[in-house]
Amino acid sequence: MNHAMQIRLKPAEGSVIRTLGLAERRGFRLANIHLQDAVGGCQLLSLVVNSPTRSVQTLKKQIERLHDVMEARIVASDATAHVEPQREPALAVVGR
Amino acid sequence: MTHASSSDSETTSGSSPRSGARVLVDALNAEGVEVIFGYPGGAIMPVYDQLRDAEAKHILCRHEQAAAIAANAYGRVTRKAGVCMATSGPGATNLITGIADAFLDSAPMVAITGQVATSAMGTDAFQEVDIFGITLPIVKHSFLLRESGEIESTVFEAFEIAETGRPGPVLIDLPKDVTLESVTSATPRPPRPPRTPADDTQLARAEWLMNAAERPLIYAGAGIAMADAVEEFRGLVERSRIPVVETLKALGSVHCDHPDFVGMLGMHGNAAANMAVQECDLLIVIGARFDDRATGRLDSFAPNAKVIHFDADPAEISKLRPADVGLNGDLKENLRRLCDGPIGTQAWRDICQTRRKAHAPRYDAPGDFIYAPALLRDLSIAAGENHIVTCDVGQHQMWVAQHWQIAHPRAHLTSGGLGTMGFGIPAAIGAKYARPDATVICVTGDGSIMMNIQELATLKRYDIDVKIVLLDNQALGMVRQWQELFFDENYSEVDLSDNPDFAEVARAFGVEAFTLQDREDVADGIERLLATEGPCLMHVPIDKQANVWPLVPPGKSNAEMMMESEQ
Repeated sequence: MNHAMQIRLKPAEGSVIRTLGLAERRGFRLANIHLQDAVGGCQLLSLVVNSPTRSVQTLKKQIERLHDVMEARIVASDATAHVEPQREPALAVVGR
Repeated sequence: MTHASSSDSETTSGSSPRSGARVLVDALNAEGVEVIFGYPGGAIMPVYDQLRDAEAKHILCRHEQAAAIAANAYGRVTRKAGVCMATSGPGATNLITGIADAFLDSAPMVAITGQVATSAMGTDAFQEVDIFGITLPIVKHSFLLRESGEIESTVFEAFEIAETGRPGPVLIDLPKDVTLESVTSATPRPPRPPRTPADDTQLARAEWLMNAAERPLIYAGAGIAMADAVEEFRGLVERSRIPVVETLKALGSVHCDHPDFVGMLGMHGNAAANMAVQECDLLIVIGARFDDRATGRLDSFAPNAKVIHFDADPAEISKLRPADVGLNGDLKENLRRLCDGPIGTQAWRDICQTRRKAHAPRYDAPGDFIYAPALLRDLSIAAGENHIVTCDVGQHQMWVAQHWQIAHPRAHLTSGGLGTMGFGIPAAIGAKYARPDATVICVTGDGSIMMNIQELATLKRYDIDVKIVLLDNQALGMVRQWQELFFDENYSEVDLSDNPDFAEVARAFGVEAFTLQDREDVADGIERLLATEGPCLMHVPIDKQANVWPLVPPGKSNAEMMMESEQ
């Protein structure tokens, strides 16, 4: 099953690769990635990941404990979960 | 940006210009760092130039890996971040094993690495390596500093990250030009955030499950000592009278003679402990993480139990075993408030203790060889209450876990997660600086000692009072044991019968050493080892064929233990 996640990152060196690397090391395949600058100087990383055996809830908690991560959310979990480039109004929602 | 003079020691703080290196040293002073384990080199030279004004003593280890392990051990004992330092390139990469070890065992540690100048980064410069990138998977957090004005706040943040919550290693990579830049601003050390409070709702749910249990069992992990909650844990055990099994790194959380202690669980655990886990109806997991060496085959681990899981790290709760109740608030407060009377039945306690007695180790081994378990038990008693034991990795490590009288989990330093051969001697160095008043004993093997034997020079240089017990079976014993049991006795690359004369080697480093010859010499040897002033190595030849029992075969359930009597 695919899981779409939205992760708000501090603008810190290595934050994106740290997050992506964690997802892969924890046994998830990265099916789709999108990164864009967001309000407040942070970055919004949108991911679609899947794993036949691992819990996406545990992955979310592992991502949340990264110090560059301000917020992580699972926004959809189904076979068709996908990410699309977000527009600014959507970013404002994520940044609440 | 201007380059400050290298002799700006007259500037200490405030708004006077300071070099980035000096700012780093001032920040380490503000953090109260007492000792730095390190090794100098090109890119870190501006920092070493300023160490004369550091309040910390610098210990020159003879390999950066040893510096990292010493800092790691210092952190384990003190709960304050141990500090190690190395230059760029190979200096930094040599730290990696010690950093990874700290990550897997959640030891607080700050590693500071020199880096080539920012203008040279990304050009394949001499001794340039992306240590920030290399260590991403093995640090709690890391910083690559490109601005000297960020040094002070970054150091404070690094220590806070390393020491709070679930501890871990933090890396600060410092390009050389950043350490030479002039800084005029100063950042005060911010106060630490308060500990997270207990969760009343989850505590109430945990109490409800506990009151409903007939066969409750505590599965204690290293998180108890990390949270400085050993006294609260012991109080809980006294109130609740719940039988306790401990992980390798939690040993000593209750005294091994305590009537409710059942034993270490897991691959080389006590049979009574593993049987208790299999039969309990409630498993109260405190600061443990269902490591595979503890659980064996996970889907058959504690098959009849509901689970209450306390952990500082919310990501550990329900990671491998779903928890019926999860609590990740302040462990000290949670344990203090949990349970106000006995839980479970006396019949269950009796079963646990009867089995414990039935499976107690025997020390009357036949034969003429020195029997390592008996020696370790006797040495741990002779060393008194105020001691720390460090281990390397292999059979001797498990014998220490099984037979050493461990008084406190922070008095037993063992590489549980990474299983780092070479951990023992540098860990003993770190432990001695952490607790100078304690007798520090390193138990090592003939395979492991060669991984960091150069640290005998560090012991000699600083006259560090570490007692080394080298159990020598002329083999990589644990691998040999597995090849015997699981690979049809196909002994592949485990023979070490051409070992050097270890006592001669130690003496060549200036460390007193002697070899025990016979079983009858053990008592005198222990006395001589402990009575010797300064570092000393006791070389102990043991039976090549000796194995560690019991053993849960890899991939099997803890219910399928292999016992010595069955072989």
